[in-house]
Amino acid sequence: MIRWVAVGVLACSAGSLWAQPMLETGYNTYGYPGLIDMPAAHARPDGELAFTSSYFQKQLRNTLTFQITPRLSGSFRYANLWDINNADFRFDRSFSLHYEIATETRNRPAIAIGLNDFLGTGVYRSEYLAVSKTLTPRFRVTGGIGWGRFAGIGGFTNPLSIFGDQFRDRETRTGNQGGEVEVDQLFQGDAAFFGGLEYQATDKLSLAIEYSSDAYRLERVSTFDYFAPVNIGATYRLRPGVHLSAHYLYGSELGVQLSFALNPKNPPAFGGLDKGPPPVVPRPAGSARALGWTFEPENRGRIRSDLSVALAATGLELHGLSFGPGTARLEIENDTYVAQAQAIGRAARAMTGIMPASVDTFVIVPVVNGIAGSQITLRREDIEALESDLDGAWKSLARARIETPETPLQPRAGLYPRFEYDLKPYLSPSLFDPDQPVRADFGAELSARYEPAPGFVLKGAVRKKIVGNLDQSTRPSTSVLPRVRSEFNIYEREGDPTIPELVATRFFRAGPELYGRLTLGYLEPHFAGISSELLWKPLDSRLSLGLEVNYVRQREFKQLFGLRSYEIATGHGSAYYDFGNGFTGQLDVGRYLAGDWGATISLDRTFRNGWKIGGFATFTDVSFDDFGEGSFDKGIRITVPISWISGTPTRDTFSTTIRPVTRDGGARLNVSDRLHDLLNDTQKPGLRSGWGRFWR
Amino acid sequence: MGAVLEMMRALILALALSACSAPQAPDPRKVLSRAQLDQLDTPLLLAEIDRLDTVATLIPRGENRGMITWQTGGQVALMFRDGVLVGTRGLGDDLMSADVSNTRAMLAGQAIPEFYPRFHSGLDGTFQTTFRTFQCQRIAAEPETITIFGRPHATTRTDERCVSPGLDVTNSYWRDGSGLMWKSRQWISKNVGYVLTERLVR
Repeated sequence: MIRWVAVGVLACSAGSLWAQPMLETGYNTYGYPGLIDMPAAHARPDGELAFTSSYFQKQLRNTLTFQITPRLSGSFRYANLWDINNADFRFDRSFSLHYEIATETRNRPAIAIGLNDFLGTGVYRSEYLAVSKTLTPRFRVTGGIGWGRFAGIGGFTNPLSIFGDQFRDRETRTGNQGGEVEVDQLFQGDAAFFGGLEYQATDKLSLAIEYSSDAYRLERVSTFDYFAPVNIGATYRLRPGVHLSAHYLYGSELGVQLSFALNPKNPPAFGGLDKGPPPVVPRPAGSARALGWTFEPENRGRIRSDLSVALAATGLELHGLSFGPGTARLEIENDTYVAQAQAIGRAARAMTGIMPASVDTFVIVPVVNGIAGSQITLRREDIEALESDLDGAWKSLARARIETPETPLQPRAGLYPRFEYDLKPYLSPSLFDPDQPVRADFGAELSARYEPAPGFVLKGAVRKKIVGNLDQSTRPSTSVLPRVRSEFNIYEREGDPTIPELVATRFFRAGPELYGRLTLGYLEPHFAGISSELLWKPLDSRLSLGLEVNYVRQREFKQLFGLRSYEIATGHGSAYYDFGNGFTGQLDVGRYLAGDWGATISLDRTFRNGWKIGGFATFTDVSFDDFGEGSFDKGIRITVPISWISGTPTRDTFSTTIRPVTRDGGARLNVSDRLHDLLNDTQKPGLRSGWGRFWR
Repeated sequence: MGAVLEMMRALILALALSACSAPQAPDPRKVLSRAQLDQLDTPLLLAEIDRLDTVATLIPRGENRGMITWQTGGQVALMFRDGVLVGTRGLGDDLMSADVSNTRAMLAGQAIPEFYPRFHSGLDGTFQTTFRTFQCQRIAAEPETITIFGRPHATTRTDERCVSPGLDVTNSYWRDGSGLMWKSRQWISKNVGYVLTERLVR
């Protein structure tokens, strides 16, 4: 009896009505949630990012999968196929989606629907409906029905044909360039059943057996000997997130698989190893109200230098400090903390130790490239009272006033002009290129930055490659469009050393909620010219609108000072929208580098710790045929905050864009310091989402 | 003479603090001696975290409304109220803040219910505040003489058991008759575990 009560309590505290399964369905050979070669219904934990590499007899599949929402995951796959369909070798790139329609409950199984290779050239084209039920905490059974490739064994007339005869037959793909969704084929033609069992033998070892409905029609001819539709597998957890599997496939082949998973929500150093903040120094009781004096001007210099030292010790730069009645207005530059709120919290604490007792209001203005997107007003007594408060983060946010700054910046004397330089290593990867999945250059980058006045930035960099193989891409461009991007490999080959960027930029406020940027020079590795931008970004709005107009000329392959003859006016109207649930969307409409007109739609999942994972697609008036392989420009982009990896505070990030193929249609200029990203975290939504770090 | 003494104190303090910046730094327990500690007139606290394999000494760096912030040379901070831990910084899975008013009342011998709550706040990997509530109970209180660097202290050891879903922790406090916390073992968070503190210099 007592045992039953205990079990009940445990189950309730875990938030479910039945015993939590020990078993966790992992990634299959295609890198999406599944058994061995077949799908299963359970989704992976929300936000998980996984890389799976699996190999068996002349076929290697590398897959990147992101659990986009708690139910939906998307995969991008890159397969090396030797001797397939009597061809020598092919690379095949494909996308998959897995959607968990229903999560498992005590009485109901988990149900998922999925699409494979719905965009690519079609080798792995299949659709499925999978149903999984956990029978005991260690035992799970899965069954499903598949179409396309998954209807190869034991196929029968499509049950969906009761909805119409068009479901009865599946047409072969019309052999397009890839990229086009041929919706009219989905869930058509014969269907077949598949299924399997999973068993968690120990904490680290799990076993699976499955009946596969995939006949491997293209492969069985020349790739491997197919005997039976049954696969068995064993998966061993090497460490959390890292799994090694061995498979015995189709009665004839051994396969291996390694998967790495991480979750942006779970940094290895948890909240980070940031050093202790400056402690709050409270005013002695009664001191503030007793004295109505303003302090002597000569003291202000000392206050300014003391505060400058205190801020520098905590990783912040004092940009300006001015005084009003009972108020100190501090401008700071944060080059250290991912969350601006943390910089503001530290600046406020540093101020408590230095400001005269008569100052009872702190106004803190985060400055980025000489412009300010907001000012935060804090009462000194709240800083004193909430340092040790249990709910201090929320209370301090509730009591803070966040507004659009009205006074222009007042930089401290001697701050401008300023000059800084940096020498650091760079890593420039090229992932999932059609000929080679991983290429990269590693080298040294010397960068310098000169700011003669607030908002006026001259910056540049020189790169010297030390080692790398980006120059080994020899695929010639076959583009019928102006070759604005497709000759990127010539740039990689001929440029060393290079000047990736050398620009003069003016940042300015053009109105209360209007910001501007004007950039002139060598804007990016392939283009030089002039770029201008206006951004309307209200302090507390989910929507912001931008307009960018550029006139650029193509740079020489050497990427030094020379220019080629191609020039173009390009630009976009952009709408940015924050959905408020971690997703941000962007729509850009305009003229692209090859002179094509169209629109780019992007969707990113932004984690509050700085991770960003998203995708984009561009459709322009270039026909799919003229565009070439892939039919239109699309890709996946990932931003990883270095602080997430290292645990130490830094605003450095690593970003990469993965394009299945780089062509010339829908290509956009890559000018740096676009205003939206620059200002976003200093405005209300950005400040709010990082406010948990205010007292960090 | 005074100046020399001052310099020696500064040196010992520097030595004591340098021991804490890196986990590989020498163990302050091996570096420091009773004779050296007697030279110091700055309060000094020793803190050891098993899980992080680290021992360090800390000095007070701030006081605000009864909360004292102690810091190591490497700027790891521990915050206490009457010797009861209310916050940590620089450890990763830090205790952001804690409401320990019932624990303090219990230690002070005030009348409180047998089971009393304790509240902790932390920060998750996406910068959001998390809260945890414990139900606590005093499970032991007995006199115990402890020795810190060769010096005995007559204390009362009080153990407090605190339970929260999926967690069962025991905090121990060794206080003298004046209420000074000479030694303690207090729980910080799931991933940091316990901190053991010893007051080296009053």
